[in-house]
Amino acid sequence: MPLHNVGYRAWQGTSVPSATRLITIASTGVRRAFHSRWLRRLLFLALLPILFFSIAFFLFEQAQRDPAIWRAFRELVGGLPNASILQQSLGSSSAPTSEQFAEMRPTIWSYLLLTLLRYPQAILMLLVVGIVAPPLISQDLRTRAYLIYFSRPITRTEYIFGKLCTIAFFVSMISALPALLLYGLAVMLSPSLDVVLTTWDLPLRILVASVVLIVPTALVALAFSALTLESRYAAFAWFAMWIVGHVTYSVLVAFQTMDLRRGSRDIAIEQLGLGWRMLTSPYQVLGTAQAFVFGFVQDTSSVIGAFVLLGLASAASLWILYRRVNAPMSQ
Amino acid sequence: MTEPEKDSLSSPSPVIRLRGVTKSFRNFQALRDITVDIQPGVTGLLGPNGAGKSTLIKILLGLLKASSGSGSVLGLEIGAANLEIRQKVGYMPEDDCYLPQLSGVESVQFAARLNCLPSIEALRRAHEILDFCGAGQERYRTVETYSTGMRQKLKFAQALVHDPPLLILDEPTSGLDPDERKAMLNRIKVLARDHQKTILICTHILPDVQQVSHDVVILAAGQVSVAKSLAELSKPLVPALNVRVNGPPEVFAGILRAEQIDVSIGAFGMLVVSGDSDADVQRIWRLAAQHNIVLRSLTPAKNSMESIFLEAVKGTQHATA
Repeated sequence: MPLHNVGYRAWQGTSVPSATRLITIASTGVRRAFHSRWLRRLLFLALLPILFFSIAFFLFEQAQRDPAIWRAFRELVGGLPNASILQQSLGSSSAPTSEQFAEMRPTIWSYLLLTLLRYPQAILMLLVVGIVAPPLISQDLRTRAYLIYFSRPITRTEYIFGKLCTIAFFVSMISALPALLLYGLAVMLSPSLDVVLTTWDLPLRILVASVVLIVPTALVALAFSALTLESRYAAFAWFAMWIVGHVTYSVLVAFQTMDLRRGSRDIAIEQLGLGWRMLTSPYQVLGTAQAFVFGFVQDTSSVIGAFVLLGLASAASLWILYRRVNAPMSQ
Repeated sequence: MTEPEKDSLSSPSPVIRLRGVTKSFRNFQALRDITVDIQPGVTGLLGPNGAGKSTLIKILLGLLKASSGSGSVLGLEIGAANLEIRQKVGYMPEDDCYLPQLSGVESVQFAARLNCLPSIEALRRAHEILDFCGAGQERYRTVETYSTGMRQKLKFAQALVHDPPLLILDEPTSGLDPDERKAMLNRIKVLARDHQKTILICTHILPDVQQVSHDVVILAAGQVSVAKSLAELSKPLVPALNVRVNGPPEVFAGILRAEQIDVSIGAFGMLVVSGDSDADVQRIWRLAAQHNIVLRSLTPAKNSMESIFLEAVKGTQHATA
């Protein structure tokens, strides 16, 4: 029992603005999600790719001084996916001049940042959202926690966007944050702070690419969560969507490459726009959109297709969310 | 309304005011022409299952839109000012509802923050309200581990934490042991008496209503069957006194009948004597003294809550049949 029970007292404090409700919903979601040990491990794991890419940035910035470092950088980057798009920049085996370095720097940095977002972080994003998103709404429906929310001055929009912000926080932690850290590290490793003048757009591109990643994925994951009372079904649907999409895409690409009698399965980023085939894989659709944000995709039709698909998926998910969140109240 | 008692409709400043509220779900009419005023104090909202109590509460909170009719809560128009209404109402749902992985105090803090209390102040207030609700160290455990009684306390604390002028409590004593039930009813009395809260209690436990309510609204088949003060409802149609005596009741009944007093023997040997004036009481005392009869109790007869409830429900069923 309390040491000094004051009984009931009226509350006469000052309320905070109503916009803080959204932050309350999001921050409580984050706090609850952090109870997952697997999530904490994944977030730690998400920082490790920074080490690899910081070595790449270090080698690139030091390559001006020593041709041996330039060769090491070429070998390192040559082993990364879609490195063929850097063929023009990396073609020379001798170290470029400082003018050539300055010229190729934005492209190389963009490529490294995109590769970070597109490969390790995108796969980690898939896992993190698969842990965070499924219980966000389904658990509220199962435990009837929606009564706690909606008996208070909360609108459906605040509820949905509060949950969205929970996912956005974690996805930002593994996409935007590492990429921005890497950009900051690259600036510090460069010979002069003047590089900011030529690469100032990269932080903005990182943020836009993160938004392109967060909005559709978070909405789709939340829609799955809203469709069931069992979060494991929502998690299953989430992972199934990615796996089935990727397998379908791989099979279609394999058929195409067989038709073209090409032996290589390494598809360059500029070749990602494989027409309608690309639309079968959420991973490829997001990759195309992100590559466009970083200025690597020239095929307009595949970019339009990707953005239209992402827009449609987001709109459909929002429609499901509004209907499902309202449903328990209408009974 | 079929034949609802309408004495509560004319009061000057009702906290809840409903006029002709009807709610239909496709072919099913959950509420029919509800016209009622809820006054400050404690009001019991009663009704059998499916009477429309939950639908009415959802309409009051603006979670459901009425098919027709109008109403206000705390002077705010239902439908036009739903968020403002929910800001000023504390709702304790009947359903078990909780946020897993949060401790009790975090859950109450969360409820306070949803009502726009600053974060640190919400935590302080959560502790204060949990103290008031009699929650001990278990407030630091996650809510999944709570007993039914503790969850009731938690829901009550969440409804109360932002200090709302109107509380809507759905089955507040359900699942509580006798001590906890008594404590919960005392809290409700304290809030109404000392802090001028208006409290609407929706329950099936009729003695609870009798213990704490001033007014009673009975819903049956989606209609207001009764809306009256408990004191008036408790008065029997014919004034009477309940008398218990030591020994066989027939003896004293015979004595009373010999004095031309109308008396009958009720359940458990209770004598029901017509009339409840002071003179009637004095006469019974005098006759008992004269014949050396020991009176164990002498109380004015009251309609039991059960009989009031059953009468109201039966009346509506006949009217809708």
